Amino acid sequence: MTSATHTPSNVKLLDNGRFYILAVTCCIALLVPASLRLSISSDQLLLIRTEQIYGLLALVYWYIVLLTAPLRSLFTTGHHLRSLVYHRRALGVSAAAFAALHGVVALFGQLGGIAGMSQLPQLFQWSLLAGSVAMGFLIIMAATSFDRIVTIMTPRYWKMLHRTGYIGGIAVLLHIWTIGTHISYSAVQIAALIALIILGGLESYRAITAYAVKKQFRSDKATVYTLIMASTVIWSALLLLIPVYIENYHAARHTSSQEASHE
Amino acid sequence: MNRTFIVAICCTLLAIMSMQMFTTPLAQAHVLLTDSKNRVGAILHVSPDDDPIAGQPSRIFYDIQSNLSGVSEKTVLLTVTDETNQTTAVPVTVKGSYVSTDYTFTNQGAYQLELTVPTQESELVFTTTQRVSRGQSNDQPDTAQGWAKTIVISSIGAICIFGIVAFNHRKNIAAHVQ
Repeated sequence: MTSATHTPSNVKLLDNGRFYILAVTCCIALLVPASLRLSISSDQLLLIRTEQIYGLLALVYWYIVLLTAPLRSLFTTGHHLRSLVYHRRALGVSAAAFAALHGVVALFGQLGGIAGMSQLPQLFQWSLLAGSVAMGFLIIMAATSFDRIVTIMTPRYWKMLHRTGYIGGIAVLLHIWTIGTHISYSAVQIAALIALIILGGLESYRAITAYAVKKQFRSDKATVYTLIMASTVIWSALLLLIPVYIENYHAARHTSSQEASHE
Repeated sequence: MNRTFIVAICCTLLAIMSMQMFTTPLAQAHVLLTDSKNRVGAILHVSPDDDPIAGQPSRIFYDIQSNLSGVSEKTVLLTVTDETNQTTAVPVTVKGSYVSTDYTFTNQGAYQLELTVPTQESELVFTTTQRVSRGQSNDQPDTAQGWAKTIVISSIGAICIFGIVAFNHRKNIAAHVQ
């Protein structure tokens, strides 16, 4: 959500692509619990699935938003990404909306309110804190995504604020790793790792080419690409170290549970 | 190495990622329970996928937020009560703060699970209702609800209408982006 593209205020609503993204987001937000209700009779299971799908949708939208800037730096000459760059603010607002719904369903549906948090294991509490931080960043970015706010803040400070979204990205990574239910499976872990390596690699490309231009060694392609490869490898190694140092609740508990049953 | 090479790497990785996503097994989620005195919490997992299948064994697993040292397996009691009020006592395994067992729900329906754990301080009782909506059943319940159908149809209709309107305004939208 680092786009500071200004929108003329006299544009008609139906001529603004962002309107359609937000409208479809509202429809999907209603569609998810309703379509689940048709196939799930248990209220408890309905809440779990709704919460999981809202979380997944928030993640997908956020990933697309984060991917836009590095893709734009990769394809500087083409015009293919102009539309995506323009519409990413609406995608970011949608990500914030789904994250908020994810949080509300989890807190008031599954946990029965804020009081329920105190009865959770400590790992859950830390994970929920990380999730709340990530959601907070998303909501702040969504709240400041209007042209008027960009004008008030000036594009420079607005961009600085929106770059803090990467901190939210790290927080959400920890949130998902620690208590995400599907992330305990190796297939999902590999898929998530690949998605994050792609994002990290493209971000490396963007940051290092910008640095090379600034320091005037952009023409030295060998150095530039070596730096990109090195930073991507370091990022990948950091990702691979997460399971070593941070516990995944489900993987640990389910293994213990199965061991106990065999004794 | 050029941009085409980077794009080719990304596409290959995305293809692998997609394949991994399609082979994903079902997951277990978590449900927070509190004891009858609302003092101690427990996380309940029921496999497979929190949605047990009647006629097939399910794993019931409690992670209790209390010290269970000194609690004997023989004193921990898990009862499963079906819709006909028939109660079955299920033997459990206790390891650390985890209480687990394997149980086969015979038919679809709502089951009452009650776990009683006598700790040194007090007796913890966790009660929950587990609905079994998959597997063998004599009569298939009608789970479809009117409001849900209305919202599904309305939402899909609205998405289609927005799509048509956006298509009709595509030139203005594109011009606005430029």
